[in-house]
Amino acid sequence: MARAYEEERVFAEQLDKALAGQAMQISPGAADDLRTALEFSQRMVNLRPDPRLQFRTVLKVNLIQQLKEKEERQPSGRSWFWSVMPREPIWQATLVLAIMLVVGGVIWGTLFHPFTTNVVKVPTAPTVTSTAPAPTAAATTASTAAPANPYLAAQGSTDKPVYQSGEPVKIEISWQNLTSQDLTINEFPPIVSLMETSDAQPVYTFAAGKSSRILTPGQKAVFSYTWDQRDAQGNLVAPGRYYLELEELYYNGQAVKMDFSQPVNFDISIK
Amino acid sequence: MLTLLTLAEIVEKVGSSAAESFAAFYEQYLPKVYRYINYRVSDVPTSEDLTSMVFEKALNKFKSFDSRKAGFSTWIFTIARNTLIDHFRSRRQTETVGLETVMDNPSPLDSPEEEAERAEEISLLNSCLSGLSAPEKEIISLKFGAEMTNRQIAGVLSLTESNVGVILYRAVRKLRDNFRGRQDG
Repeated sequence: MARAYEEERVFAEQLDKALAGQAMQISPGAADDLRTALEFSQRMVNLRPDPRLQFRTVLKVNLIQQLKEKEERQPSGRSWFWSVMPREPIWQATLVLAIMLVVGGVIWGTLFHPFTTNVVKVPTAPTVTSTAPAPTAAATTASTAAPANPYLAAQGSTDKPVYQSGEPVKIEISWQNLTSQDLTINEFPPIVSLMETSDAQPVYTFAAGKSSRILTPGQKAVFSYTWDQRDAQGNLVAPGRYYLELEELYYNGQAVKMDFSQPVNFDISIK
Repeated sequence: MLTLLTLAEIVEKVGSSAAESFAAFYEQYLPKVYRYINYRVSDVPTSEDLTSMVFEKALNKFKSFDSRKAGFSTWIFTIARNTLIDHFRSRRQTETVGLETVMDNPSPLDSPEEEAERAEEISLLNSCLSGLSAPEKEIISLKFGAEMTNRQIAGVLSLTESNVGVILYRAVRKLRDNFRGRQDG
């Protein structure tokens, strides 16, 4: 059982390397089944089809043309009404119905319930606090997993594994320069999302920082976040399991996958 | 000195117009979307049509894209999956998996013999893929086509990450054995 789990883990790790264009590292002692599965995966990666150059070019030209035409049309011709009106007939009908209901409701309220006051609840904005990035000299935790990319390693942790609903979640993330050169991260810290495990959808995203940060070779920068368990609309999120995810960065126009060395999970329980 | 940027920064740097921003996004995601679709449908023209539809839908929604709600990758592959679902529903066809050989786009380094060998291998792989179960096909498409991590696939398919790992490993071994068997036979 443990051997099967280990094989699946190694397989996933090495396949991700092959898909990222890196060479697989198959241990000489690897089981024959695993080794041949990895070799076959590499073959599948090599056999993947690329879109035809003509298709790629023609589609791009058409799409850009469409977008430019839209951009040109918008300021001159369209009234504000049409700019807010959805394009699909079903949504247009829904919007018209909603407007009619609102107007009807207002008339009803004015004529028959003139003294009723409506209380509008304004959702509170999510509270996010952060501390200034503080580089530290030594690594705080040892990681056995391979770094996600050759530039930047990320490690994260929360102050507790389980939180009561509504309790602030304190998160600490460190980024370490893995290269032998100075590394500039233009928007530091990078984007971090809080993901719901059940559907892998982000519930809240910490936007990228506005300042640039230079890390010397091996230097580590630590950033702290506090999440108040509210989503982007200010509503408390449901109890359940959550994890952190990092947005990919780009080097010379190429995407660089950003993964934590170890997954960062935590639970929110009902009070 | 090395410099790492976010996609939003690239979009910002490329230019102020939506057209230029969209072009940067297109270059990044076209191959992945095309491959994902090509693993799920049986021929190149359909793959191209569906890929065009995905990007046209993305274009219409591009300005309203909200990075606080989902990453670019999650957003575009949600559109791609829905487009495929609509396609299969409208055609009322059973799902077939295919990697059709695209002979007008061979690698410039390949000789005619190597091209022929590659075409044969793709054809063989294509017939092996059709022997997989529906969840196995979907996972293979998301892994080799969309280049998603097991965790991302788990999110898309509402499975656990370890479950994805098990199905993926099993599917690849099944393909390998089937491929070998057909090559030898």
